Amino acid sequence: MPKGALSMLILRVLHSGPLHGYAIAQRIGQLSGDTLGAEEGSLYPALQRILIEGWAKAEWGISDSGRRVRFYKITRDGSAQLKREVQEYEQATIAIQSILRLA
Amino acid sequence: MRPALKFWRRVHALLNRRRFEQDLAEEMDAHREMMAPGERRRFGNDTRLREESREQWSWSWLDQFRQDLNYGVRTLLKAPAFTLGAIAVLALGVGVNLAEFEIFDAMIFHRLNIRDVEEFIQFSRISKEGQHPGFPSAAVEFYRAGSANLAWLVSEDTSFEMVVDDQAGVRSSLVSANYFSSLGIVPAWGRLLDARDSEPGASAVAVLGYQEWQTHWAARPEVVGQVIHVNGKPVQIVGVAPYTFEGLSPRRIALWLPTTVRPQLFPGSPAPNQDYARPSAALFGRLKPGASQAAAEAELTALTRELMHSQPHAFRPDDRIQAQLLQASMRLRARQAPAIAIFMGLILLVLLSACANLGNMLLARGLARQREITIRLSLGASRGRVVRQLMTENFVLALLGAAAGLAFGSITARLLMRLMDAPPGMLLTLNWPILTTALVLTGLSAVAFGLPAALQTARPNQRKMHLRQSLVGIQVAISCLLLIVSGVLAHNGIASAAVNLSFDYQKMLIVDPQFYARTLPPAVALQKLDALSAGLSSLPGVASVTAAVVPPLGGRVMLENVPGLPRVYRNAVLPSYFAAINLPIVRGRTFLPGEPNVVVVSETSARTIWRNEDPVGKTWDLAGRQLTVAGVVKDSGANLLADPDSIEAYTPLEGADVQRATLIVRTYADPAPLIRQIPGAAATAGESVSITLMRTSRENQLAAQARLVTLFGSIGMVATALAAAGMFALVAFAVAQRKRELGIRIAIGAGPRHVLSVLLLQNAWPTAIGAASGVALAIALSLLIRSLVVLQSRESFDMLGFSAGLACFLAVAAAATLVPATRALRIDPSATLREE
Repeated sequence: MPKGALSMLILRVLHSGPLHGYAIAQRIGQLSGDTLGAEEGSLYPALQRILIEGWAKAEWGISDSGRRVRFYKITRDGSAQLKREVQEYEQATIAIQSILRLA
Repeated sequence: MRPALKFWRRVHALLNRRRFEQDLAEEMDAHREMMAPGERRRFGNDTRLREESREQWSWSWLDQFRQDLNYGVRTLLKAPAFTLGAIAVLALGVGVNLAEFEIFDAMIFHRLNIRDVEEFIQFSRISKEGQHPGFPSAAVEFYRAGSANLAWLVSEDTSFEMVVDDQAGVRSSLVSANYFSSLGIVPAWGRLLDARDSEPGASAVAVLGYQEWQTHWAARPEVVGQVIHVNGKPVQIVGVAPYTFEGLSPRRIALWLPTTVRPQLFPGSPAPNQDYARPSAALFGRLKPGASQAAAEAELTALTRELMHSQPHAFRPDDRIQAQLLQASMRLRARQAPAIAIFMGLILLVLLSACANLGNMLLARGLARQREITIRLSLGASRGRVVRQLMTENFVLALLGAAAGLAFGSITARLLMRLMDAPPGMLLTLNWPILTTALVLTGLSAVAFGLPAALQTARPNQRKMHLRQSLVGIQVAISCLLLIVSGVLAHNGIASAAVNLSFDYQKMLIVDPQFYARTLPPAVALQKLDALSAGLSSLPGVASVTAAVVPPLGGRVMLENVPGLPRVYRNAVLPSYFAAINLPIVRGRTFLPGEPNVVVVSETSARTIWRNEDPVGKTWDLAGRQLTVAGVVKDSGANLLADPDSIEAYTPLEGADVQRATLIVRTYADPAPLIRQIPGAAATAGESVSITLMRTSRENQLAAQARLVTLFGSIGMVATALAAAGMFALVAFAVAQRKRELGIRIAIGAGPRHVLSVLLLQNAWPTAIGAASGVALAIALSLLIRSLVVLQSRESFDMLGFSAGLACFLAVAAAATLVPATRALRIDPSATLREE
């Protein structure tokens, strides 16, 4: 999966509410049908990037299973970034599709 | 604003690195624990993922650099022999070149062909507001009168804009009366400015620059005596400066005028000896023997203080006088000379050779570190990371090498100066451009040679010798090239010192009656010439007097272009010329008085034009006339110094040429004392003349060439030392590396010859190819050098110079490879086999 795409997916998942790393992986897995599958750990470099960019904030908390985990919460910058990325993605898709149709 | 925030988040991550790492580790651990036990493998490589996450914090390159630096320094310390060797090679390459550059920089002034120009000093004023090179013109005379440490002091002011006839912006210079005589400049035509032009009531006169004379005055000597209009005022031209002199200021001067002429050209401007308002005169001087520069500075500073009492506004209150060797201020102009480009190119080549050497050492060391590299690669280091680490080491080496080179260079420079017997006043300076160049070059070369070595080291499975061999090839080519060039130049230096001037220039004077300044009819001029030479002949100590338009070594030439021939240097002479200057007639005879349409040619001309035929009696088309050859004389050699291809021809002095004639006086002993007696003798004949010694220009030329040879020779030696070290190291390393194999070979009966051939043949090809390309480059370069430096050998391929250089290189190469190779013969097979 392309690098940017993973962070877009993470932001999209976080958009519905704060989640910890494992949960993010689970959710993306459920929704996509195992796209992350090959290497779940690759989530973490992407999450670090999101933190540094300021698209999400992290906070330690307790998971449903009682484990200490880090919850990621999307910021306003993050939402804006998500919107932008989705838009760009859709534009690109439309463009590609129309070319595919016409060609 | 957002990028700023991002920056701060990174700084935060850097400062709280440990917490960030812990958080990440804990989080990843939790993730893995939450995964089903069978699934955990899907999480991926923990170490790599952490590394990737850390990279997001983005300081990691800095971090890695710190790590690499740390590691690099440690490994370098652990291999002191290698480290010192590498630093030594770089120090040699960088240092010696810096030294050479400094010296060349200091020496290039010989192109000015002024004797002892290295000792000329330029004065400037220093205060806390900075340095100012100009002095008020009225102060000059005061300094000259009050100074006890200076042999002479001259001033030159190039700050005035002149309009000459209709030509605006002519680069002109107002100079003190003693300017030309102090510098020892010889006129090409007419005379130069002297004391009488600065006397009160003297009429305005000027001297033309040679270039100006050629471009704007059609190179006609009749310009002497003509009146031009400078700023609308009539000024008489009294002479033309020689083509070797363009002034002391950084700009080429077209017109020299005495300072005293200023009020005439600029109405309303004060007399220069009263003008304290305009600080624009540059001051140049030379120390008396034994006087120190510091003493001169102190003396002039004291004189300045004295002046300040009466002229408080002429100086800045804290002005001190600083003396700086002229070469320092002229450096800029010299840089533009094409010879410098070649020289710089050669310097780069030596550095290249040093770097090739270093590259080879690095490769050898890479082989020795194979084990370490393999372990790091198998532990998961990426190849890029290993290369980066190796390159960091290389940069550390380059930096240390450059530093050592600087230290080494300044010592070597001083040593070389001793060897060359340089004048004590010659100044060596290490300036910023030189320093920066050195550092940048070392850095670049660390990349150029360290990178291939690092790449190959990081790829342990390919053990090809190609890279090492091509590095040896490069070194061989470079040192071969440099040695050949030095050989050619040295040969040339010897040849030009030995160019036989077939006449006795040591004992001759040139006396110019300057008839051309008066446009006399030829018949009258001839009469006057006879009268004058009769007068001079009667002086005691005079052996003979003759006349010619182009006195040998006198700064003039008359060129004739004849299709299919080299440049013909023509001279118009009296029949007595050859006998008078002792130029032997080889065949035929000299002219008869009044004989029309005859020519006397030099031996080389005869050989060039009529191969294997007797030239006497042949006709020759020259200067638009059919001339009959009357005789053949020896080559004078005078033009050979400037143009080795030149051929010479002599026609009778007649017609308009008489006006341009100068007298040549040969004496029995040292001609210098006659300089004082000749003006008197000329005055009795009703003439005023300008007098120069013939030997001046010859001596200047020879001294400059001798130094050039030393310089190029020493570059060649350095390059050879480097190449020898490189070949030595390569063979020595091969011996060490193949010790076991060689031991086995010896054990099963290989003779010394076989062992040597195994070791030496591996370098035979790169050496041969390197030497061949070195020779090819040398041929190309010698053509280029030929266009810049006057070479004496007539062929463009100087066989002797080439073979001397090549032989020297081969001897060194043989020694450098045989010495370590013979060490292999002493390998004790049983000891070697037990070693591992």
